[in-house]
Amino acid sequence: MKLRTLAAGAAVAAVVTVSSPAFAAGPPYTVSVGGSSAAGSHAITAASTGAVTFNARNSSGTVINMNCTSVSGSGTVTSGTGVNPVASIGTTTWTGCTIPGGAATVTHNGTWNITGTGTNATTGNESIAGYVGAANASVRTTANPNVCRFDVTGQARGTFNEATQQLSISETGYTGNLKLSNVVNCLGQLQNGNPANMLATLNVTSPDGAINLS
Amino acid sequence: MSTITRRVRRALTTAGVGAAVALIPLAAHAATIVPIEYDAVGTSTIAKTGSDVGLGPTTLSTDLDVETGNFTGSLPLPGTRTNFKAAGFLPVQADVAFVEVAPVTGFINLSGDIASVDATATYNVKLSNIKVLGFPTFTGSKCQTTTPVTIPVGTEPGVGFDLTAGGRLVGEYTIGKFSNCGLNTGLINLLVPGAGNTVEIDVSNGRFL
Repeated sequence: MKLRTLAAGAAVAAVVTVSSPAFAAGPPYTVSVGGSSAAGSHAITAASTGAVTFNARNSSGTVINMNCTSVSGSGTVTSGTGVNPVASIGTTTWTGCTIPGGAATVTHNGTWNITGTGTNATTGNESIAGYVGAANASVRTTANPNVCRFDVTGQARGTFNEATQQLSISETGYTGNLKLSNVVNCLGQLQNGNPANMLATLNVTSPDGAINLS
Repeated sequence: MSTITRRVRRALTTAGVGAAVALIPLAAHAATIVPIEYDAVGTSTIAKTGSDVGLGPTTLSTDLDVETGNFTGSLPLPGTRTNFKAAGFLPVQADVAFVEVAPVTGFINLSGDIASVDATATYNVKLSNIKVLGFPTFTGSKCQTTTPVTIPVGTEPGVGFDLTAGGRLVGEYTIGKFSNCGLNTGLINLLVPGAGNTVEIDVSNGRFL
């Protein structure tokens, strides 16, 4: 019996392991803000430069687009040495969001992080690969939440360009890094586990100055 | 416990179980059906006469199953009057009524950026008060299509339907033979039945009830 329990537990653990997105954090970075790498926390805000493209592929293979005209957010970036994740995002505000059939309301959940995966930057003008981790947002149809609601959770890959101070999110290929959960209704056309893609470019600013990683 | 008490208790227990069983499907049903009403107005063009028939304004009432995208509904159409020329020169006027004989049924599909709608409405088409050259003719009150007219409508390709704002539904349908039109039966069946009749309905102002 114990053996059977252990085997079952191992199987569950294996499934959990396999289904978890596998992003290894990159090397710790030395993060400077406004030219200073002294340990500290600095407020940041981010605002999209254009529309946010988000879509999910359902179990029939149909792609369903759910876009927003803009997103903005706020959080903190950590300066100092041996830093990664390099930033956290506490709030996001989504506007002009739609899913097929009507307007949608997006609500930010929890604290997201921005984690670098790229190799050490050296010149101060590089694009450093990474991801937005612990992403979690709830989406519902605005007119009547009973028509469709779901959560989007996971990680979205992207790059941070030091020269432009832009965070470009480019989660593509329906990898399952981002996926839907807690799907309710949605006319039967979205399902739990549907993989999602997301594209957005955001200008990141800190009142303390430009953010650089090395 | 007396026999009467036991019987009453047993009856109440049975009734309670019955009520609970009866409530289960009702509760499950109620949770997934979202009633939505829309304003609707449109036009149907009768191919053989080349005449337009106004549809509405009216209210499209739907019960949307948000678990499946299927819906049923009702689109009552107020009577209207139409004018056309028989044989190209004889002016004919008639009252036209679309009498619903079955609920509107349909499906909302999500794909890409849009939600598309496909639906079917079924009516008997009634004609009355027919005038030829301005003279009344005896048609009676039972002049209608022998079999109901099925009208398939849907969103145009690439054009979406918004559950709140609505959208345009278009379709093409066939009108069958008429019967019980008295002396006008032959004339009507010569002039009206046929394929290629079109319908356009603008649905707007969705209201979640």
